[in-house]
Amino acid sequence: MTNSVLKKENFGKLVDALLGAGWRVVAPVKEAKKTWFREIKSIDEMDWETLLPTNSPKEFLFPRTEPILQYRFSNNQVTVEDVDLESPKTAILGSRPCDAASSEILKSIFSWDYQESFFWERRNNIAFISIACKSPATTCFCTSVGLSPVSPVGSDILLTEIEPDVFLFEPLSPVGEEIAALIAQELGTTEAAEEKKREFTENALKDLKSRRALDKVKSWLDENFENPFWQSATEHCLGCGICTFLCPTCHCFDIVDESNYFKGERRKNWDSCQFANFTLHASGHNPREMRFKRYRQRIMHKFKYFPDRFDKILCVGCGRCIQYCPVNLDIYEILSTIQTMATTS
Amino acid sequence: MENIYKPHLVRIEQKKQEAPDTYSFRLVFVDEKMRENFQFRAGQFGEYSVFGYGESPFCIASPPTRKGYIECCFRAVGRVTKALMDKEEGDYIGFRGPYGNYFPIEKFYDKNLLFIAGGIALPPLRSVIWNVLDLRERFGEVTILYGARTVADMVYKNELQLWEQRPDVKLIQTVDPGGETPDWKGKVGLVPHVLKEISPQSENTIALVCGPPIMIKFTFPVLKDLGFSDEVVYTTLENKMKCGLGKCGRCNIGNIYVCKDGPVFTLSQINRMPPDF
Ligand SMILES: Cc1cc2nc3c(=O)[nH]c(=O)nc-3n(C[C@H](O)[C@H](O)[C@H](O)COP(=O)(O)OP(=O)(O)OC[C@H]3O[C@@H](n4cnc5c(N)ncnc54)[C@H](O)[C@@H]3O)c2cc1C
Ligand code: SF4
Ligand code: FES
Repeated sequence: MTNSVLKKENFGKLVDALLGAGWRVVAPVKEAKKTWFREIKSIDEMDWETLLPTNSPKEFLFPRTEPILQYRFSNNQVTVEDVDLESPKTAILGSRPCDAASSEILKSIFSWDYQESFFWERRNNIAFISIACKSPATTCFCTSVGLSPVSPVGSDILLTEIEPDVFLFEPLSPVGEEIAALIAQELGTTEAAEEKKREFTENALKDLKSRRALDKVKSWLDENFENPFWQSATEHCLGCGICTFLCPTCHCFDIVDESNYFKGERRKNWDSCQFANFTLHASGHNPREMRFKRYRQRIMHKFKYFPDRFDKILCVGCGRCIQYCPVNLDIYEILSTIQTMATTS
Repeated sequence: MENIYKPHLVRIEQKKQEAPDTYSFRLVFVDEKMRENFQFRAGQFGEYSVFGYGESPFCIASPPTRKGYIECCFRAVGRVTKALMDKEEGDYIGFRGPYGNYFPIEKFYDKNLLFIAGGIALPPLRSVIWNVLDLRERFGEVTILYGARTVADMVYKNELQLWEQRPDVKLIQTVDPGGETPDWKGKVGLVPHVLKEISPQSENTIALVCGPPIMIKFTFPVLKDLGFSDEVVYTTLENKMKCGLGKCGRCNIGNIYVCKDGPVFTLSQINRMPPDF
């Protein structure tokens, strides 16, 4: 294990070095009473306090709306052109292990069979400089889905605060090494790095002690597509879809045209399986007309269909959907109930 | 990296009204290389686009045995299909595809084929039918049962005539009670009823069924009674789709992506899916 450390007071130098090397830097920023991943020009803009920004870093890989092609009309002719994809080298500073892991999950969908250039050209230009979570929130359940407050998955550099204001600096990928080289002079060293990290991890995990393993959920889902539980458990869902938009792993999208008399664009927009018209056929038939069916789809997709298909759970346990659901529907509670049903039946 | 959403330009070489609100297009790729090299299999589909309006998935209704063009047949029901309806011969639209799986025609060699189609769902089977008829000697008996609500609603009317005249095809046409005209020579009755009436043999026979959900639902039990096992009954599913590429997450039934793993399924595959369609 590396024994490099970066002091909190030197994070500014990290930002400056990244900017100097042509990186765009994105970090949690407080704005309108909430915290958001935003582009920053200086470390002073960064919000250190909030565990998780409201938005996930998904939108830097897969923006909520983006043109996928453009066209022009003239005299009954149409010409179709590619759009210039903007994908500056982007360092996401202060991402959490769950958010970094989500980008690995998204890779599965955008690369099975067809490679999706819009995702990949961005993903290949993104570096996650993650900060391990010292005190997980009550809504976090990463440990229930195979991750942890110090999980390295998807991160290029992992920073762990092993002493007050001193962060263990672990490059985890070639890009991470490249960034490390930019600030080699600012890195110090520490003794007993491994032990200090272990201590940090133990402390962080204490906050997650009450979170259970969800290892029986999948087998219950395999057998219980039709179960009255779905209706009773999700009755108060409003179908607003905020859970899917804030989710770092939800990836369903719509394709729409926007045009005027002379030209137009085809755009890819985030969509949500929680909306009734998501699956509405032109005939008027809708396989998921009822909200409980749509909520069931959400759980099934994340914890059964996606694992069936790609061998990964489509959830990183960030808890944003729990935090922001207007009617306090708690996905962890639902999964935990399922785990109980699976264990006792 | 290639833009997987970018359609090819195709020119409408022929436009025909097939039924009320239903049109067929013959489309030719503008790009010469595409025209020569484009390959697909019967049962596959594409995303057809009207620039400024959007894209819609339709099956490729022409057979892969006819080269140089593709055909589609669609009913104008919404935003894209209505805009498509307003296009004329010589106009340009977009096409990307072929997508999805296909009918495993090679597996059907030396077998009898029973095609059962309802209304606007003849196009996907039409691709298979012509594919089979273009290689006629490789297959056994060919029976086509086609039903529509009314005589006017029948699509590809002149081709139905061609099939009718062929000695190597048995065509049974039917319309729903009340949908007949005074000079209607076909049958009157719903597809499942007529199927029961004609009771085709199931031995060494493959059944290919495409139609509205209600027709399909009542046709399967009749096929079962006739002795068709679920493995030899094929159908297509038409979920709502956007990307056609297994990305947008819209078309799934359980862990199946209908746009990738389908749209062609056997009844036994469908029976294993959760009832979410
Ligand atoms: C694999 C596949 C193959 C297909 N092949 C064919 C084919 O060969 N021929 C063919 O004609 N069609 C085919 N379809 C169906 C075809 O894709 C749709 O009819 C078409 O996409 C409709 O597009 P649109 O933009 O015109 O409709 P939209 O504008 O999307 O219009 C329909 C929409 O309007 C709304 N809407 C429509 N009707 C109602 C209603 N009754 N109640 C409430 N809301 C409603 C819904 O949002 C609905 O999605 C196929 C579909 C698939 C998936
Ligand atoms: S955020 Fe809550 S109310 Fe809104 S769709 Fe999700 S579960 Fe339903
Ligand atoms: S249509 Fe987009 S995933 Fe199937």
